[in-house]
Amino acid sequence: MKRNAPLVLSFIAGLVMILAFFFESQTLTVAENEIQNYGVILAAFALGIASVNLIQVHARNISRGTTLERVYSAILIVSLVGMALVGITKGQNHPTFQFWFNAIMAPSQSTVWALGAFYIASAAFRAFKIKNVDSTVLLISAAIVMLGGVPIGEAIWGGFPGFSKWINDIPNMAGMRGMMIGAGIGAIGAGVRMLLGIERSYLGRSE
Amino acid sequence: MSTDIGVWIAAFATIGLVSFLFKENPLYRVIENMYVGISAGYALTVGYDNIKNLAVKPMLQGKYSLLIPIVLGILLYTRYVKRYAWVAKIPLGLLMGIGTGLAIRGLILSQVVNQIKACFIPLNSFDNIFMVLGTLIVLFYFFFSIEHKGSAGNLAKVGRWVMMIGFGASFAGTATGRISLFIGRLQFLLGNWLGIIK
Amino acid sequence: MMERITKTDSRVIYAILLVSMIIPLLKPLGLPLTTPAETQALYDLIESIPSGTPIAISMDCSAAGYDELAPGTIAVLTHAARKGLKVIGISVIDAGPSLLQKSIEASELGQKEQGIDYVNLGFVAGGETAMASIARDIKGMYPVDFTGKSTSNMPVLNGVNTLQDVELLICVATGTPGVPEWIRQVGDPLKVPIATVVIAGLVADYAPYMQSKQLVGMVPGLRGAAGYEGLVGKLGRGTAGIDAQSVGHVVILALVVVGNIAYFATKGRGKGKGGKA
Repeated sequence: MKRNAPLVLSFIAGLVMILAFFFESQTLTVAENEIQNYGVILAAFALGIASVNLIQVHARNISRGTTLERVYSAILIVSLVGMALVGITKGQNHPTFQFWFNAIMAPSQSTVWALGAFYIASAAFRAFKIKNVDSTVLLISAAIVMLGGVPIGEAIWGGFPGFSKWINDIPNMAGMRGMMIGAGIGAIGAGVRMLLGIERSYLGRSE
Repeated sequence: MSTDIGVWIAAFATIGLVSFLFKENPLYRVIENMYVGISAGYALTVGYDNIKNLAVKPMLQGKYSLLIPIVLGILLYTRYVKRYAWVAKIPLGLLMGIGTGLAIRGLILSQVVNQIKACFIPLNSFDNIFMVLGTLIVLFYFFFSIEHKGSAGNLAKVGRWVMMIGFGASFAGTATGRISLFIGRLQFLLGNWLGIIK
Repeated sequence: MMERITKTDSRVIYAILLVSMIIPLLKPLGLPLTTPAETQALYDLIESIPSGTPIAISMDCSAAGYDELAPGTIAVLTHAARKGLKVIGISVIDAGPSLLQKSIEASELGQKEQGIDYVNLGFVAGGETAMASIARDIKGMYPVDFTGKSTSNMPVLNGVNTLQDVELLICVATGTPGVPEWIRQVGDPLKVPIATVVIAGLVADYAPYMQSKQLVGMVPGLRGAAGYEGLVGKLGRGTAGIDAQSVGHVVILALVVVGNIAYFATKGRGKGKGGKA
C-alpha cells in the first residue's frame, strides 16, 4: 500500500490523460476534466509547502542561532506571516498587499536577476577564452548576435542585423530543433517509465 | 525626486541588493530576508485564494466530489509527521501522473511530430539545405549506438559546432536579457526615484 | 602590464559596466533601430483583427523578468486598446496578475472599462495542468476575477467559454511554464494562434517554433519592445533603454577581447621563459 498506492494513482491519472486525448469518449472526457481539476487544487495546496519549510528552518535559527541569524530569521518570518495575513484577510487586490509586492518583492526579484549582468561581464573577462574550435564558434556567434541586436551594431556595420537574424533563423534553429526533437523523445521515454512505475525517484527514498 | 514611500523602499531594496556585488553587508541581508519572506507570503495567499474559489466554495455549493482533492491536498502536509510521511506520496503520485500524462500527449504532437514536419521543406536554397542537414547532424550527435570514430566522429564534431552556434546565440540572448533587466532597475532609480530622467 | 590586467579586481569590472550603462540613459545616443521581422508580424496580425474580437494575454512572467518585458507588454496592450479588442488576462505564474494589472494601468487599456473592455482573471495553480483546464473551461477555472467580481455574467466574457473562442493568445514569458506549454496544450491541439512577448534569453530557444509557425509573432526583449513602441507611435522605456543596451553589449564584447589578449600575451610569455604552458 505504502509503495504501490502512489504508483497506481500516477498510472491511472496519466493513462486517462493520454487516452482522453487520442480517443473520443464521453466517459474519458468527464474523467479527464475531473482529474485535471483535482490536479489544479492539489497544486494550490502544494504552494504552501515552501512556506512551511521556510518557517521550520528559520524557527530553528531563532531558537539556536547567533544574534544576527536570529534577527534576520525573525525579519523573514514576520514578513512571511504579515504578507500572508494581509493577503488572506483583505485579498490580493488590497492596496497594502500590492504595496509590499511593488515595494519589496518585484524590485528585489528583478534586481537579483539583473545582477547576472555583472557576473556575465566578469565571466566574459576571465573565463571566455578562445582555446579551441568549439569556443571560437560559440564566441563569434555570440558576438554577431549581440551586435546585431542593438543599434550600435547596425551603426558599425549595416550587415550585422541581417547576419544576426540569419544565425538565429538558420544554424541556431537547426541546432535547437535537433536538441528539441531529441529532448522530446527522451522526455516521452522518461514519462512512460514514470507512469509504469519503473522510475520512482520523485517519490523519494522508500522506507 | 519621488515623495512616494513605496518608491523609496523599492529604491533601498534595489541598492541594498546591488551592494552585495561590492561587499556583503547588513542592509543586503535585511532586504534579502524580507524579500524571501514576502515572496513566500505571496505564494501562500494565491494558494489560499485558489483553494477557496476552486475547491471549498464549489464543494459547499454541492460539488461534493471536490472533497477528494481537498483531503488529498491536506495529506500533502503529512510529510512533516515522521510516522505518516509516506501518506504524502499518494497525492504526489497523482500530481505527477496528471502532469506527466499531459506533457507526454503534448510533446508527441508539438515537440516531435510538428518539428519533424517543419523539416520537410524544399531543398532549393542554401538556407533550407543547411536547416535540414543541420538538424539531422545534430540529431546524429546524440545517437550513441554507433561509436563516434572516423567519419562518424567527424559528423558528430560538425553537429557539436552547429550546437555551439546555437549556444552562442543563447549566451548572447542571456547577456542581452540581464543587461536589459539592469537597465530597467537604473531607469527606476534615475527616473521614478530621483526624477533625473523621464 | 598584461599580468596586472588579468588580475583586475571584479569590482572594477562591475563599476565599468555600471557607469557605461548610466551615461547613455542620461545622454541618449539617438541611434536608429530596425524593428525585428517577428515583431512586425505580431503588429500586423493584431492590426488585422476586427474590433470587438476577444484576445487572451497570459502573464506568465515572474517579477524577476518584468523590467525587460514591461515595455513590450505595455506597447501590445496599448495597440489592443486602440484596436478595440477585448483583452482577457490570465496567468499560471503567481506574480502574473499583479504584474498584468501594473501593465494595464500603464497602457491605454487602463483608460478603458474593466469587465467590459478587459478583465484580469488572475492566477490558477498547476502550470501545464492549469493551462489545459483553462483552455477547456475559462469561467470554471475563474469563477471570480482578480478583484473578486463574479465572471458568470461579465460582458467581456460573453461568448468566451474556452480558449478556442479567442482569436489570439499572447504569452508574456520568462521561462517555464510558458510558450512551449501553451503550444502543447492550446496552440497545436486547439489551433489557437500563439504569439509571445519574451525575454531575450529565450529567443534562440524559440526559433524552431517561429520557423514551424507554431509561434506567429514575437516581441524579443527590449529591442522588440523598442520596435513595437515605434510601430504604435508611443515611445517608452524600451526605446529609452536601447542605447544603454548598445553600450552594455559593446563593453561585454570589449571585456572578452581584452581578456583574451591578456591571456594569450601572458601565456606566450610563460612559454618563452621556458615554463610549461
